[in-house]
Amino acid sequence: MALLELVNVSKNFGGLQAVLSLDLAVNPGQVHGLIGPNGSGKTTTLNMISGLYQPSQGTILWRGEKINGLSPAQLVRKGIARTFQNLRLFRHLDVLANVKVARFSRTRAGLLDISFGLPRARAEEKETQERAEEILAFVGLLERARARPGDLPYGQQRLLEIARALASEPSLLLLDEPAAGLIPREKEYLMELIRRLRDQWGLTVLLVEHDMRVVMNVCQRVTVLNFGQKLAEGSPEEIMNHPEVVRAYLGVAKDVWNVKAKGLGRAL
Amino acid sequence: MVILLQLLFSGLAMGSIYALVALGFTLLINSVNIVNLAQGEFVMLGGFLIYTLVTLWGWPFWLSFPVVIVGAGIFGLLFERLGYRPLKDTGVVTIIVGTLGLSVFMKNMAVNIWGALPLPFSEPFGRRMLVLGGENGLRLVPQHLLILGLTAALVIGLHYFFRFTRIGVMMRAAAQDQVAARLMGVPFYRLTALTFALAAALGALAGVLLAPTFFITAEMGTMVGIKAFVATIVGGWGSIPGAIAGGLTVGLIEALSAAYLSSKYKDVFAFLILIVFLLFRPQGILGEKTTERA
Amino acid sequence: MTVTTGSGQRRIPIFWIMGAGGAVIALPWFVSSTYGLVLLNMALIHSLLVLGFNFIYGLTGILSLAQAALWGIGAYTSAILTTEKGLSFWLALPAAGILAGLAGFLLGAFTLKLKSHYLTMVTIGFSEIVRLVLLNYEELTHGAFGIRNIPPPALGPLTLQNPRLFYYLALFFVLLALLFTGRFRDSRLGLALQALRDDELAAAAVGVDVAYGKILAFTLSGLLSGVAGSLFAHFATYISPDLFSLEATIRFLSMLLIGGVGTLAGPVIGAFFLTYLPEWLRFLQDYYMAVYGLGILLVLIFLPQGIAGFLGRGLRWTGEGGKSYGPS
Repeated sequence: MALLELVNVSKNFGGLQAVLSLDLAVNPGQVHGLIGPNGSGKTTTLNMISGLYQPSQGTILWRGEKINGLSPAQLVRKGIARTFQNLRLFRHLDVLANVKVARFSRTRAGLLDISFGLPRARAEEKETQERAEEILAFVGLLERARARPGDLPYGQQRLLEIARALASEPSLLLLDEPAAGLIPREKEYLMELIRRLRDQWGLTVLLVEHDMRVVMNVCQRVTVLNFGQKLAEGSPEEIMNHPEVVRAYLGVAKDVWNVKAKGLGRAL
Repeated sequence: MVILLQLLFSGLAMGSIYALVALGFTLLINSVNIVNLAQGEFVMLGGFLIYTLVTLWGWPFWLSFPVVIVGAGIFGLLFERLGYRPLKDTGVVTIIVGTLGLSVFMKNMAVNIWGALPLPFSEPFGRRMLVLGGENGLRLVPQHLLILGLTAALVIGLHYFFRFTRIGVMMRAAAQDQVAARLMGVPFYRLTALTFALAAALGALAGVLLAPTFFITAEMGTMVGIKAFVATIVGGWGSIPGAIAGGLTVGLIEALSAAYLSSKYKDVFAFLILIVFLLFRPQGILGEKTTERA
Repeated sequence: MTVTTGSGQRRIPIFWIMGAGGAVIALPWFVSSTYGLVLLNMALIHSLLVLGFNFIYGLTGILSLAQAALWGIGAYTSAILTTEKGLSFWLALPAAGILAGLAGFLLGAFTLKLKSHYLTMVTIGFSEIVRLVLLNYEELTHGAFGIRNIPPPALGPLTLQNPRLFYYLALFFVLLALLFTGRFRDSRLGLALQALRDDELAAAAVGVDVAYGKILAFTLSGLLSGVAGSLFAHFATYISPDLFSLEATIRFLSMLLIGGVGTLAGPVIGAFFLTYLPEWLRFLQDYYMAVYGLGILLVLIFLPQGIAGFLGRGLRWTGEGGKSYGPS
């Protein structure tokens, strides 16, 4: 059974049809790419899945259960976490605290537990500390645990976004253009990280991305959107060669793309 | 019936005062996105200035009037230069608190300069009353008529100003997109200063018009300012016609509630209106809903 | 032997801690004038208030200007319960805290969906409504006359009328509040509130229950203010509505800003500083409040982190102490 499924999902904003009749299935343990030109509805789709928008039509199913209408925090509890295209880190908290915040939904200590230092609070705080350190070590940021997000270089800030999302123990991780603004070395690191998440942690990832190389390298399956509708779907290789996809992105016919792609592929 | 009409008049007059202050408020919100908690103090400033010119210095009212307005405008310019610009980039909340500081400063300077006693002012109409239709006819306070007339004229004037003059259009552009406007050659900082001057002038105008109705005190602006804020929300945040509509609405509801419900708790009504609107129709009468982008 | 401070950046010898503790305990005996003792106690009461303010503004980033109103609710509750209903101070104080906390709770619930300036205005509206009710609901509050002869707290035969003794009561609560705040800020709830301050949307996106957090912050700020109100009522023995005005809230806000928003010691530093400042600026007399307002502006421009922020990194409001993580 698919972990996440969108059935005939549409979203319009007043007169603007952002997404139309989208069917999407994300299978567990896969890295699923969602690509398309700007304005094709990728982020809108992500926002619907993560509870920021309600679908105007259609159903979103999580492990077979309908989740339309749930709030972002509720979805986190169900196991869906996300990062943002424009970083949204907690700038007055240090790196470690940023990650710890995300453990909120996995801990239960209340006001009394905290005020009186009761065992539950103490045990949870210890666990939160350990898990947060573990995650930071996993993404490679442990050394900077005490720094403020603003002090980190951009690439590390992006890693922090991801680390924070991981702290809520998701089953599905939604990544919104994680490679944007990264230099090649950082992109390599990111791809490696995503692969490790899939292989070592068994995490399912839905990746919205513009960088084709990243998509080709980490995704098992790719869905292409154009003007809010699904244009094509399949393995990365199938998508690369799909004439409609090529036309949508480049506005040129397939044979021209093939000639260019060979040259570009080496340079990428 | 007569009483109701009189209530309507006084309600609308008070509402116009709120509308004027709300207008100044809204201009600042639109252009520089700040909530000026000292807006009411501009009202107070107008009151004290007109008192000084007319009662203390003996100037004629119709000469003092424009002088006060201009003076308040200059004060607004000063505030922009000394208060707003240094704080501009520190965050919205800090600016709000900054205007709070200004408010405290102004109120207390006023007490120092003019004393703490309420000052009476009765220009320009004195105690005269307009009576229509004989003994038991409609009694109108001329001041109310002046307020209504001036406000109407001002609203029309401002409408033309913003629609058809170059400066007005530039101000609207700057309010909608600061960066784009500046790239198009709009002198943003000068316009901001002008906006502050306008907001202060509008507040002072309200103060001059209000002076005969209540005594002039350091506190006279505070309530008006708060109610003007309510008017802004009721009418639609950021909407100029909304500020007018909201002001008139608040004035009317207040007058009617005070007469028919309870005059002791008159001031509470404005807040109840605020709460009702915020709960059920936060976009106000004329405003638009906005959502945050992810 | 050493003790580490909150963020673990400093190790303070136990000797110093004992010395400072001793000084704090002995303090009232070194103050000779009655007025000096009054100031001392007021500074403590203000500290408690501002610590409460810190929860809603410093920690959660919500500019609520209802602080004085919550203070007033606490003061009046305690005063009415002891003067009219003959309740003991020791019952009236928690009642005051609970009632003010409840008011905070309601205010938080009301304003959940509101953003910055709308929210601030509602809190101003709330503050004014409370003041107007205190002023006009004469059957209960005696209106403008206020409530007199509020009994000082009694411990058996001992009444804490002597400000030197009251000091210890106030000190107890301030220390309690500091202890609680210190524990709270690094806990899951404390971090959640700070996340709300920095980015509400992102906080929700990582699983923070936004409604719970905001209402909690309001309730806590109400609770602390209510207790401070009760202490105030029984210290001053006379309260009237005009004490609990918007201007009072602005004074408390200034204490918070000057002391250092969001820091642990900031509220106390700011409260003491601004309680004593009128004395130091006595010569300014009538111009005091005017300078005050100007001062707020200046602090905002030049000392945005407040005194505590300016002085010490060790008292900051982030993370917890102890470990180092390699070069950073």
